[in-house]
Amino acid sequence: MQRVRDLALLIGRIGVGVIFIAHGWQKFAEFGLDGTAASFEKMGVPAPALSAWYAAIVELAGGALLVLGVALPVVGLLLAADMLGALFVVHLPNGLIGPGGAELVLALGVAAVVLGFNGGAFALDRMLFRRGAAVPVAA
Amino acid sequence: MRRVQDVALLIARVGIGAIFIAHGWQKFGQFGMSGTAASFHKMGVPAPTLSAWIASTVELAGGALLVIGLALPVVGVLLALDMLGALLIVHLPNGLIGPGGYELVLALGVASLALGFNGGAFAVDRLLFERRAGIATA
Repeated sequence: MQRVRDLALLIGRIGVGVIFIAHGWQKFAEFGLDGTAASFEKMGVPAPALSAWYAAIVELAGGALLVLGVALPVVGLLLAADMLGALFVVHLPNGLIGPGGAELVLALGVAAVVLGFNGGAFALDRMLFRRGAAVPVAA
Repeated sequence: MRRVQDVALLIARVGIGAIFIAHGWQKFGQFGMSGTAASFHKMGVPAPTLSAWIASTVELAGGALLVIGLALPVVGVLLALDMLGALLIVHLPNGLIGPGGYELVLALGVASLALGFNGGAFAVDRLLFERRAGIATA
């Protein structure tokens, strides 16, 4: 049963991580950071240029680290903060489901935080640090 | 740390469960079963009427069970299969992100699976059965 639980967590990390990677990549490569900042400004995101950098880096690098299972609790919180911002600043006025709704960022945010604190055995954290929770406590 | 993990699991179960409840409720209450079946038919879902009933029931009841943490492994697998069907039949041709993409159903499906097998301490399963995994082995 433990193996099944770890496998479900690995599948969760890969699925959710890939979605974040795609969004981070889109901000860097497709929109560009200027384009992302301009779009953030139109949506009313505060400090749009800084926010664009934060979102792009956290989504691209954080998504990759979530897949690999490195520094999971930190990555989970950074991704959740990213989605919390998107939820309150952009999507909440559109309701939960339907066009522009909050459901996607809500699902990604809660999944990031839960997988950050529950990464399972198939994570590099677990190989690097022996504790189950995998918080690096600075050797 | 264990408490933080359990709180994170509870938050995720509530968040993901609420999304499923909203979709199940929408199918029952807003679209209606015939409306959902007609829309499924248009999307190319096989056995649209049966599929509409299954999707609505699994999403509404499964979402509620995910929130309270009851029968989690069964509920997680059923919700993941529901999302797998939506992914393969409806959303895959639209790519991962962007309009009609499969990111939402992928996120909901893998999250259901992960939470179904890792519900944490704040779940009815845990109150009913002592084992950590929360599987009812009767």
